Amino acid sequence: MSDPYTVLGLALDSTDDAIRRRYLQLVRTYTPERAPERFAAIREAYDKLRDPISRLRYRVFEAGKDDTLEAIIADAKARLPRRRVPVAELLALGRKRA
Amino acid sequence: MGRARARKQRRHTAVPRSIALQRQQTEAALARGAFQKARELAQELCRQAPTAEHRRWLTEATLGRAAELRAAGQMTQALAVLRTAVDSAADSAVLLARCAGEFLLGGDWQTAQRLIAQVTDTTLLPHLHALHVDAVVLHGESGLSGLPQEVRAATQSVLRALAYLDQGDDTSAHETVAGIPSASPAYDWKLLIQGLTAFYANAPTALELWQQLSPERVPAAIAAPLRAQLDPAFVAGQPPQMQAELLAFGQRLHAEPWLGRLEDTRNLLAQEALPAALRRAGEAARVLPPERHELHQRLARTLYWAVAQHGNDRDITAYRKVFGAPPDDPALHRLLALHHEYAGDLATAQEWWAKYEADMQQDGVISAADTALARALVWLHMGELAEEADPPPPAELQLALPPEFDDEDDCPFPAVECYRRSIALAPQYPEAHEHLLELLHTTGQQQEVVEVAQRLLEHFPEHQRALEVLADDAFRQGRWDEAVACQERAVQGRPHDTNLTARLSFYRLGLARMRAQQGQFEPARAILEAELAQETSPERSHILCRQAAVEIKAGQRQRGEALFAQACQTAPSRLAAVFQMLVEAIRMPLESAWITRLEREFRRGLKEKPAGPSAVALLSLLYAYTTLGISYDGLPAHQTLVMQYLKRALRAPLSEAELQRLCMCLKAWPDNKLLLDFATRGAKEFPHQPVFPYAAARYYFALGPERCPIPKLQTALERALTLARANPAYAELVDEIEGLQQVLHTLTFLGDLDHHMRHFSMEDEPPPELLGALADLFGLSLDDEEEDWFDFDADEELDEPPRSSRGRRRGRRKR
Repeated sequence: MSDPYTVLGLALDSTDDAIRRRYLQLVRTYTPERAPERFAAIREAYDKLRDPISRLRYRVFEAGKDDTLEAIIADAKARLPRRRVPVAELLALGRKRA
Repeated sequence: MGRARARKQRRHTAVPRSIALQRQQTEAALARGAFQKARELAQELCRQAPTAEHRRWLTEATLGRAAELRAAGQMTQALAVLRTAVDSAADSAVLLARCAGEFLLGGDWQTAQRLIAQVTDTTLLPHLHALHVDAVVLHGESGLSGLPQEVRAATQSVLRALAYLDQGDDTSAHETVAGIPSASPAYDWKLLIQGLTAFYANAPTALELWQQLSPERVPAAIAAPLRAQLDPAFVAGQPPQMQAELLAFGQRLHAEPWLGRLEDTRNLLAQEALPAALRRAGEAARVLPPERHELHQRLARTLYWAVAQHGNDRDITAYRKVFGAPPDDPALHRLLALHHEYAGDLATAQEWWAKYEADMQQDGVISAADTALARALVWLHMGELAEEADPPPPAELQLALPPEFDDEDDCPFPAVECYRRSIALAPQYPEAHEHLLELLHTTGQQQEVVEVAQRLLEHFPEHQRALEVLADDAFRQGRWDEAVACQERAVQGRPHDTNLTARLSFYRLGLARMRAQQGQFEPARAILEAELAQETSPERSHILCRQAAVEIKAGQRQRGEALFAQACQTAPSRLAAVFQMLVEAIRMPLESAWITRLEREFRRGLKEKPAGPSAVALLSLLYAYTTLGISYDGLPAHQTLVMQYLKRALRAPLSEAELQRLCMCLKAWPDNKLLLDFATRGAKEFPHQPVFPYAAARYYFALGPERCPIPKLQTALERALTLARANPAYAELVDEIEGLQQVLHTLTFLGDLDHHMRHFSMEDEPPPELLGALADLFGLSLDDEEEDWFDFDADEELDEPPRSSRGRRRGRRKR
């Protein structure tokens, strides 16, 4: 699992209320039927941050432990503007692979 | 020499091959996709034996070769090869359709149309239409005319949408294909185009659309390298060469230099090349765009954990140089603590945690509001480390341990001190109280347990475990009413916990006796009636005996006799009921005539032939009195008599359950040889049962450091562990055995080594015991023969020096 703050898209100083609101927003979007893996990740992240003691325990002993370079790279790529591939190049790819 | 000439020469000089061999070679070449080779072999076969099967092989090889040439961009050669297959394909509708498809993809519309017209199997037409659409999109509109009208319109939409896409007008591209229905041969192109618009907008729907593409169609081939950016499972499912191609294409989509460095760092970490990964991460950190500050933080934290888990001291120094110390660990003391903890050096880890706890009092490490609780959490963690580094032996085993180890604690801060400090910092946080309570309970420090439970109740008035502890303490002091009151509150929290309810029932029965002793017979009767009504087990003799004693005490002799008779009927044996009634008569106390009568009957019963149910019932009662700390006049004598009865019962028929119960109860007298005797019999009659070797181990352990036969103890424990692990029902026993092994390893190894080192000088031949201990420390084995732990001679010498087989080992911790 990735960092719970990253999974929920929250800042480190988020309040109880902000965490709960964000969690509810995400589970409405990523329901267990539509995105079971994402839903599980969101639940797991929320469990780590749901109350002040869990949050503090996480910050003292585990902050960043579950983050991976894989996740960092994926997030970085997701936020980068994607280079557009010319249609001619795509069709050439199609001709090659058909 | 040219290649063609050499091949021609080889062909002329080759030894003629048999048809069977050629067939075998042709099939193999087709199977591995060597189509040119397969074509040559099939041509030769057709010349020698022009069967239908050989012609089919030739067609398949020719189609494969044509596809190869087309993929290589050699379209003219591809079509030329393909034309040689047309005649032989005419035999089969499927081959004909494949041939038509190849002509379509090659852009030879006329030949393709001619062949499609010859395809009689209409089920093949949708696939050909789909290929036709793909071919038109790839080669241009000239092939449109051959398509059915509705397919032609959809294909034109696709071509227009691609033009929009090329101009960067994604909205128009998306809308242009929106009307293509899912049944259309052009539907996959709609999925591709709408997926592309989503992909460029970083929308998650791109993957959802592309996951619906038919893998054999051209749109799937075009989407593949882009889909690879979003779908690691898709990449993992591709052959290795394809994976490399997909990832290489992905690199071109993101040309930022820092991304490449991040990927290098990831790869180096995967190869466990931490110093190189740190250098590469440093380079990435320097070129990260300033607006991507969060990436810098995440990179630093990821490397922080990599160093904690896999690094060494130099890596920690390198980390400091590259990233500096993070605000929440300004002196990197936490990193050092984690590093030692992962390395299994818990004592050193605890020292660094203590330094980190001091750091936390500085500004900025943790918010002021959270500082006390955060420090309390660190002390709690240090307590856990101390317990893990030096697990407290259970109180019942402490007697068996060598006294020099009683106070051993290799952590600078003992667990009790850590928990107390944690409580002082955050008394409102229950976990440290709970840890302290359990630790003190395990080590048998009753007075301290009560104090901790009382403090816990101050903060958490209905804390179930604290109430349970206080109830137990009240019972030990004979304050039955208080014990009942506390236990009733504990049960409210967990009404279905049978251990709690059984204990409550026991306290209530004690309270009933106390009321009767005070002359309050009605309240006593009410309690006992309620208990009898609640008792679900048919075995109610313990309540009935108590009722009988209360009635006799109240002067209701006949009623008492009737209840006692009822107890004898429900008890496992009359002897068991007599024993219960006798103990009750002594504890109440009843008139001496009653006690004498029961004592006589009890002793008479004990002289009769022993039986399993009686043996189990008598020992269970003794076990209950002993473990609950109940005493009465005559208990030692009764214990001796029951043990003598058990000794005779060793030869009586006993079931597996009875043997198990006897061994379980005899653990209350672990140094009694009967425990070993019953364990031995159980192990011989029921070799699958882990309880018996474990009981034998408990006996050996209880003999103490001077008399314990360590190898037999270890063999018994290992056997018990193997059997217990084979059956999931024994998960708790596995923990118990492993706990005992841990205590044994910790205590025996150091004592052993110390003993031998004291008597060993460099001039001497090293004693085998020392070699054994050192070999075990380094995981070597010097023992060739299996110890026979069944060698239970009653007169055996047990005073050989103990020898440890394993040293103190702590694996890398996983938090």
